[in-house]
Amino acid sequence: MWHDRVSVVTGATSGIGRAMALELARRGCTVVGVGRNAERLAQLRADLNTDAGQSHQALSLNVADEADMDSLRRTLETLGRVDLLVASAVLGRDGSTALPPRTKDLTLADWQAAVDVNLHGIFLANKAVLDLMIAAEDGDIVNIASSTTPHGLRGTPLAPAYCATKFAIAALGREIDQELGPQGIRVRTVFPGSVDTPLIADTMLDGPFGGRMRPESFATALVGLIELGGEMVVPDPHLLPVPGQDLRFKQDQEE
Amino acid sequence: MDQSTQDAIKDRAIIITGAAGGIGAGAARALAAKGAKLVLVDLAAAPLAALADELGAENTLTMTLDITSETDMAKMAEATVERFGRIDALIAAAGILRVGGQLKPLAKTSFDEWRKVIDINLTGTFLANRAVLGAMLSQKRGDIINISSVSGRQGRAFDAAYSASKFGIIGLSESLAEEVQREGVRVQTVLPDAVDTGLWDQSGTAALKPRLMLTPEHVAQFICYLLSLPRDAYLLNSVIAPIPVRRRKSKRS
Repeated sequence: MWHDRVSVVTGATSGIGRAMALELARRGCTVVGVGRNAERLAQLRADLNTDAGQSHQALSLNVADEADMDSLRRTLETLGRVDLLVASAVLGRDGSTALPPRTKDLTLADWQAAVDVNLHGIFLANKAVLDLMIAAEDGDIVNIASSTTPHGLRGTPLAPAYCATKFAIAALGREIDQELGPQGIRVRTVFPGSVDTPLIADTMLDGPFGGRMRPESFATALVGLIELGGEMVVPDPHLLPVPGQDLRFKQDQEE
Repeated sequence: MDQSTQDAIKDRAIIITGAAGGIGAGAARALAAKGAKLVLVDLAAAPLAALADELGAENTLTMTLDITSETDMAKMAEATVERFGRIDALIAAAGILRVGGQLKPLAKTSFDEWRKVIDINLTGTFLANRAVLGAMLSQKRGDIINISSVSGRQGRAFDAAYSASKFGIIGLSESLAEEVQREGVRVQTVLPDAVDTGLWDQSGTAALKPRLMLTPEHVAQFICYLLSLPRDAYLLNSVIAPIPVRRRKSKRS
């Protein structure tokens, strides 16, 4: 179902977004990756276009900037179609502090930065693909939220802006899925547990989950879920790491 | 079929309880088509034998057993290891909706009727799960898939025992998952919306049967997906539902 399809992935320069971009390209999609870090964009472009004649793109765009997302819309219009959006961009972590700030110490500027990327970025990226999807009466939108806890979306300490935006994405996804379903567009919010990405590198944020899954595992599982979406509805899937099966540190315990 | 599906299902020894009909039979057909070795367990001997004939005897063991019996469940695990050398997965699909073929409010539900639903749906799931754990823990690998229901999260009039049993399956599964997932045994629970199976005949009325339902094949397809997930990932308590009528189907798929 992937061959000759066009997929857009935001936050494509690292973590879940990068793994999804590579997996979709491997399955035959034309990938438009979106990110901001020039070095990692160049790396993504090189990793996507391993063979001559491939036309995957890695675009330097800010999901929180309306003009940038309008530019993404125009790029897609040039391609003539967009079949899948994976909206994975999330505000990066400030590596200068061991722990994220408590609410009392969180500045409005830092709060706003999280809302801009995590929430406005989802809204603007979704808008960038909607014209083409509505015209085609078909399309898949996958917005990446977060499971926040091993038991689902419940909020977790020391992440007020992160949690608030992820709860908001969950609500937004339910709304636009209802709104756009009759027009042939499937909107899914996916709730990952801890994945081995730069977002949680060198932290203990995976503690409650008992480990991390590989980004490649997440991508394989998510592609399977999108494929199932043609047959049935799997609302609000929570895709979590199996505790103790951290494959970064050990080989699969195959017999 | 991609590689992960092949590795997770082909030649794997998989037990299905409630295999004679509904979700269990759907899972049996889907898994047999992907080359699994199956142990089909049900109390209803005739439909079980018919299913075994359909799937072929070479990779299929059928057992007429009662999932509410400790000794029967022990036999199920022993016979699986004896025939196939291991237990890779359990699909605990045995269940009933109600006893007596008639809708009843809680006030009119007898203790026996209540107990039978809890025994089969909840205690049966416990006994089937417990029976396979010895083999799975020693293999340091296994998959358990328990079948709850959307009624496992939300109660419904005239379904108190069923709903209680399905809530119970989620609690049982989450607890077991915390105990054994570190040791390679993955426990996942499916919460299907209405599925078009013989279960609905137990209501004694067609009025409650929804127009829009999943087929057993849908649930089977989802079970295959869960079994094929990379070993470091699992889905928490997945609801699956039919695509609403007002929603356009994909033109692509």
